[in-house]
Amino acid sequence: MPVVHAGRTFSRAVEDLRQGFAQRELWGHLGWQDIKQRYRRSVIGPLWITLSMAVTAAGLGLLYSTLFDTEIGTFLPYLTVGFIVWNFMLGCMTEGADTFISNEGLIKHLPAPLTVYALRTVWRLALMFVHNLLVYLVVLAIFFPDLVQDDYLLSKGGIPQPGLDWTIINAVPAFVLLALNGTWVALLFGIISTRYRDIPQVIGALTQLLFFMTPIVWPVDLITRKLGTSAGWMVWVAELNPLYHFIQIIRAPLIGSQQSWHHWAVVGGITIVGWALAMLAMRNYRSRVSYWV
Amino acid sequence: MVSIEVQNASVDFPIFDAKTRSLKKAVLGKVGGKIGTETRVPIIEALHDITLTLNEGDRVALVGHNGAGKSTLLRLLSGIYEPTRGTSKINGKIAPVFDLAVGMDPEISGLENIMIRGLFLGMSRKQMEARVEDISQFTELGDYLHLPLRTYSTGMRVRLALGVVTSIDPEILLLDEGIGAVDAAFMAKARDRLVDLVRRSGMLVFASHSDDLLFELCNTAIWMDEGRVKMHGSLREVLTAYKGRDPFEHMSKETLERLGETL
Repeated sequence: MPVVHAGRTFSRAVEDLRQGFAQRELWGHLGWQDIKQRYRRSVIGPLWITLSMAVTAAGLGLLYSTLFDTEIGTFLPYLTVGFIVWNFMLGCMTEGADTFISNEGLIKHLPAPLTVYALRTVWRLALMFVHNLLVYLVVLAIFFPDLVQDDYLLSKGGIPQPGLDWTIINAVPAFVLLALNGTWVALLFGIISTRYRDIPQVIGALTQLLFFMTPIVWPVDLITRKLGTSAGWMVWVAELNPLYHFIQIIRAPLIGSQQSWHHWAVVGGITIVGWALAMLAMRNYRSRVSYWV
Repeated sequence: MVSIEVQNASVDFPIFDAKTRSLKKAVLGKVGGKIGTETRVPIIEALHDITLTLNEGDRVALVGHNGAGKSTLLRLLSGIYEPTRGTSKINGKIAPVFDLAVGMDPEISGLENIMIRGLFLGMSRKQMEARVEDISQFTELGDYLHLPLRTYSTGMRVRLALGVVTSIDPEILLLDEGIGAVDAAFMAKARDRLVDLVRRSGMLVFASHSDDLLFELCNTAIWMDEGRVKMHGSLREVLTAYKGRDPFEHMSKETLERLGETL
């Protein structure tokens, strides 16, 4: 089958995706290589990912559970899972924006579908996510009795949570959905950032704020407790934040808190719109990336 | 059937960080492509209106002075750059060896680099594992393959890259200058392998300033000048026009016979 380079068509963008996904061995290898590379010659290697997550989660958990007057037994798992998911999303945004820029050498020297580089980034982040899950497992083991209680509370006076049960498996499709979204983010942000080099800086500047605006270190029911029924508009701070819905579809099953289908609906909508935008960018600017890097 | 067809293809590079004002006067030097200034972002017209058909069995030399567009043309033929205008149609499995300083990771071992390059060129992990022994023998790198690539000399990197591309049965081999860094003995070995590859159903395009290498590897030539194809013909014709003298005239009969040239 000859490869014809002419014009901007969706079929060539789809072909790029298809070939990219098919070269599983390539991006799988590259992603692993990235992790091994980062911790080369260090004694405990990639376990540093786990260790630094453990330290951060423990520190933030203790601090905020005191500040917000919450139960450490349920709040620490809440914060740990939120933080792990946040780290993955943060990676998709910041490293995703850098996807093509950091692969400049390879893009200019070896012909390959762009999707390979996006998947390399997402795969690397997924591997880090798995390393971080070890922290979750430890936290789960320690606070298991607190989490399986019926109607446990995240913060005093908050909404009662149903407790951990078999619905924990919902976290698996939730993560698959999250990774699928990470891929369009890497493609779309990657293409835009390659052309406009200010974008990675803008993303970097906004993520700090985004972290504190997203219910990660604070539970949503804290708002209702502080402000009572007049909290109407404050609830929207969380609801209008797309990242909140992504965190919630994974966090809620993992710590046995209230699951809601509206989070899945929002995430589903974002997946469709995001992929549509990414495909549009791929159609129009895929062939330009090698010129821009 | 292996072939490359390029029609009226142009490659224009936008230069985003260049100040337009300082380039107001359209610069048209002897070196480099034309720099256009009509648009807000200055553009380098690296290739201009290229029409080219290459077929199976062609061993093409790319000649021209620095900045004439040789490397860019190679990237166009490999599909890395898609033409800004015009079309290119590539039929065959491509294996490029371009700048050896980039595209390889200096921190990982030679073996890992072999694996990654192979995977990039469409091989599976299993297929590459089966070829490692062959590559190791051909490149004569031996235990060096287990050391990080940063410990390699330029010549050793070339050996590695050539080892990979020649072991995977590519159909279109694209070589940029720089592979001349290897010693004569290895070059002779590589030549046999490359010529054999092309004979088996393939095509070779090789950009170089080294006449000796071109004699050894090529039979036809393209002369690039300011992003255009100035001449496309037999190696001897093109080199004679490019150099202003016949490079074959002082060669002994045996050499000429070996190279397949007639007086």
